[in-house]
Amino acid sequence: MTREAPFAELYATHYRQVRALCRQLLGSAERADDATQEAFVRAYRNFAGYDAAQPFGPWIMRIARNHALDLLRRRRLEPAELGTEAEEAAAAEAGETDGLGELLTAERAGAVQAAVAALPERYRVPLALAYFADLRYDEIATDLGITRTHVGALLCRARQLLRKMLTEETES
Amino acid sequence: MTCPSAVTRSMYADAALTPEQRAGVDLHLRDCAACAAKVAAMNRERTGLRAALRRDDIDLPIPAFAPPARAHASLLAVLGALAVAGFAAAFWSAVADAIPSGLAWLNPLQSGELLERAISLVSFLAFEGNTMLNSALNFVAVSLTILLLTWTAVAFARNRSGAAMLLSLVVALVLPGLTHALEIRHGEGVITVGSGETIDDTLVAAGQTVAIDGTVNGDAFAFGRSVTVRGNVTGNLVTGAETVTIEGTVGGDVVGAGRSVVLRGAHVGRNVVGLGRDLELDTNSEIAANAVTAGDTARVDARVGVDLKSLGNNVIVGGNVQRDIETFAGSVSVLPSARIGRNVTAHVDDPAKLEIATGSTIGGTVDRQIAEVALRHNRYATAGYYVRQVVRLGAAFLTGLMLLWAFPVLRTLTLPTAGAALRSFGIGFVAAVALPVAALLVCLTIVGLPVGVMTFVLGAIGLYFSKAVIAQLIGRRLFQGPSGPPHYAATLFAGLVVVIVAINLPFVGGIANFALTLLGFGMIVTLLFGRFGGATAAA
Repeated sequence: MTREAPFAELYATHYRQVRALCRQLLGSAERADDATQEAFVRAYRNFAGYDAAQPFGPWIMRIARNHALDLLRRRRLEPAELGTEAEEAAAAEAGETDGLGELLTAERAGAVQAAVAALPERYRVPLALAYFADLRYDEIATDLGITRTHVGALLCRARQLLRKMLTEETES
Repeated sequence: MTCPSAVTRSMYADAALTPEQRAGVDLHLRDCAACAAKVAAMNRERTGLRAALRRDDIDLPIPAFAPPARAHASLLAVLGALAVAGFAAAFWSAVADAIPSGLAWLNPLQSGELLERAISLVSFLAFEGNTMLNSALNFVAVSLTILLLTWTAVAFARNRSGAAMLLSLVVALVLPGLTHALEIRHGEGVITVGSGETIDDTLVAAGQTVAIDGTVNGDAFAFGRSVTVRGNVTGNLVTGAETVTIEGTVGGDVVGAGRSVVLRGAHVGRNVVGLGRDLELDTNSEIAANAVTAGDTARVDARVGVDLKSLGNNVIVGGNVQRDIETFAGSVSVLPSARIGRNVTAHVDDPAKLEIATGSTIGGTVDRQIAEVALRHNRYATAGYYVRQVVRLGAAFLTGLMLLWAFPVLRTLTLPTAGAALRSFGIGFVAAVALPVAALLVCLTIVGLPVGVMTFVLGAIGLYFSKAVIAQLIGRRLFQGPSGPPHYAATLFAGLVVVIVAINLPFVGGIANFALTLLGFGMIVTLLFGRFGGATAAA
């Protein structure tokens, strides 16, 4: 069998997931489309080195994540752009609100995704890494070059902003 | 008891605290209902958020996956890069060849000999680029431009009056050429300047038959199948035709090229340069200065005011040459009627090939030079020469085929009239001279260097392909018939055979090469201008 056949199948299965990750990390549908294609092209080139015993999903997601983060770094998502830990922690304390609980249901997925896309990059990127890519704080801290408590502050702040946006949207 | 911070609670909900921190929060939550409620809400929120983010957009179409370009594309890219490198190398080495040894330090490719040789083995371009650009034209154009630019720069650096003088000199040289009006006559049939007619301009005439019986008070340029001058041209006469016959008077120089060039009772005020298979300067003709002939057979019975220089297979001299004769020929005959004022120098491969009849008069010495002709004859006598031509034909055919396949428009280019051919030749000439000069000027500015090099390379590519275009045109002519031309590969091959034979002809091959190259180049330039110029105008 040629490598095209199994790859085409895997592409069809994982495309939407990879594209969603790119969309959340990059914040734009257009850039997500390009990044998704590029991620699959990279996977295709390295397909010979891929161990078929391992699941394809995490492998392609890692390729896509690395590519998207590269793109962000090129666009200067430097640690300095992520604010300081103290500032973010203070802002999180001041903006403390209750969790959304049931307000966040799968039925409102569209609104949630739109709100995430509208988040500033410094909150959107750790949020996507934590709740979509399921990375641990340590991994996020390594990816972004910050401390894990800084990650915690950014995530706390991200959820507060998300709550605010979604509550306002519900009220209106 | 202080409640944990918002960040700590959030990290607790995300299970991101260290075991010790976690134990501390666990302990606090047992006693603090408010914090416990917040953490519980956060946990639910986290679950909801993850589910919402994971929700696939089922409407999202999945575009087709385009596998990245692989080996064949890379191969093409490498071949393309090699081709471009080849073009550039051949072009530069040709330019370098054209630079005299005294200026060798100008040569940017002194060590490029090996590379150039390697490329020349595999590439038609290297052959063509070399012979083509070795032509004196480029050398003259480039060196003149460099000279002029340097001179201008020096003049400006020294003082203004020098520059002004130079400028006025240039203007004086150029202006008459520009302001002098042109009389252009062209058409399919017979172009005539009647015997009573007087043209006070430069005449450019092109047609099947051109007959100048009247008076041209200026230069005359005449091209066609047959050109006859019985009238009077006060300036120079430049003519190219299958048969050129000059029976009248020309005040300046005569440059005539054709299968046969005949001067019969002609009076030429200055020099005659005749190029062709048969050249005849009859006994009633008179040339005030030098006569230079290049062709298979040259018969000079005329009176030549200064020197006679002759290249060819057979040179027969029966006239009156006031000063020296120098020949490079297979055989030279000096007839009894000949009167030569000073020396006769014959470059022949055998002393017996110079025959001097008794009764002829030679004022000076007779010198037989042996070696050089032998060398020239060797070119055609070696098997390697023919092998090279076959390789050349094969390579040219492949390159040409590729070109015609890629650009179908080139398959059907035509030159319907002699005028169109002349125009193409002129455009080719101008472009071939202007392009390197323009590129050179652009190169002088640092920013323009890549553009300049690109211009050079594009020019070289155009010149290189020009003969393939001409070959296709010739091939189509050969196969002209009611059923239309055969496949373009057949016409290309036939045309290339003709072209390669033509450019390898002794003595005139170089000129044929030069003319065919410029003609084809002109056609390409015209085509491009039509395409892009037209598109720009429309946009």
